[in-house]
Amino acid sequence: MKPACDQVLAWREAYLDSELDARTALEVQQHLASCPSCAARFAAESRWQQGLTQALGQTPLDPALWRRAELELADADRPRPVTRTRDRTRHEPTGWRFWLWPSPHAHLGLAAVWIALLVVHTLDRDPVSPAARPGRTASAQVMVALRDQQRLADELLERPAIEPAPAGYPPQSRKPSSAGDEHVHKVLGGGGAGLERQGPNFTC
Amino acid sequence: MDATPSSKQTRFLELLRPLERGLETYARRLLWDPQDLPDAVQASVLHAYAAFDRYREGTCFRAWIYTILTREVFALNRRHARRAAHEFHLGIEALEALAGPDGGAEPGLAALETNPWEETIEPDLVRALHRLSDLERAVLLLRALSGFRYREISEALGIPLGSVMGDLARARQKMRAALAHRSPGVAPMRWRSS
Repeated sequence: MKPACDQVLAWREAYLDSELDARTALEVQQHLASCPSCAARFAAESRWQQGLTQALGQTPLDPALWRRAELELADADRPRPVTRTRDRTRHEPTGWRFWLWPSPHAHLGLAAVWIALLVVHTLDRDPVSPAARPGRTASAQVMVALRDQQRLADELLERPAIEPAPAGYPPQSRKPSSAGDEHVHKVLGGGGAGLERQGPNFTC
Repeated sequence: MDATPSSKQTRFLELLRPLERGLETYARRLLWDPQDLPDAVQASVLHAYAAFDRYREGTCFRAWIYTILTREVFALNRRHARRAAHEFHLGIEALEALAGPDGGAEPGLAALETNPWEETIEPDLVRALHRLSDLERAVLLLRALSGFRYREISEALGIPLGSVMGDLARARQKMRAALAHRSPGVAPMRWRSS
């Protein structure tokens, strides 16, 4: 059975590209021999494809282009120093997520800083202070320190007000002007007489 | 320094040199931006040479090197498309339209038109090619310029044989439509999917 013109025209490109099997190509050839209309269409298509191929092939060529590429080949054979390049296949976060990205160097650096701060803090403690005794918690150390300060304040302020003044105090030459002054007299010399014994240059 | 080419390099160049002209023409037509041609050629040659150890003697070197070049050109075209989204380009015609009041083109532009072929069909041909997709253009060029069989195109581009035939028919149809005023004797036929 002879193929119809529509069928032959559908095979036109494959026939002109020599991609049809031998039997189909023979059928097309026989149809073209008996159909001037299809033969004209095939001939026009063939001319158009040849013109297109010719037009596409007319481009300026640059012989130096390939010589430069071949020169690069000579360099490609030489051993190159090993350089660390970024692994582009590895996904790395950007923006603020970058700081959460695991980095061994950053973590080691942070650990070193923490250790240094801990050592400095430990060496900076007062070893004789009861607040710095080992085994005590921070709150206990604070409480001990506060108690020490309170005891010292009691000594400075409250004791003179509670204890009565010794006999013969104050001396006649100089009277304390306040309770604190009174306590200073007591601590330094046990009374105003002591102050007198230290000489006239003592002006406190 | 040893300047003697290795046997690998010698063999590679033996296979490459007969194809250089066809490869260059193919790359020029496939590229969106002709200025990318040196990059495409150099990268393709270096990549092919680096992978030449895996090349088996007796297999089709031509299809292999065309595959590598096609991939490089596609990558450059994608980069060009990203750049083009932020830039404004003027073609030769647009630049001539911007010429002075006497209507003459710039002397520098006129000097570029040394090839009489470019004065006839080349701008239309380039415009028609740019209407095709990358794949359609590659299929058309591999068939029309390099004479690849359908199966070779299928292997080189990694697409099914039916896609090769479909892309080729579509590409020819688009080219016919775009160049219809250049070839009035051939009316554009409707592409059939069957």
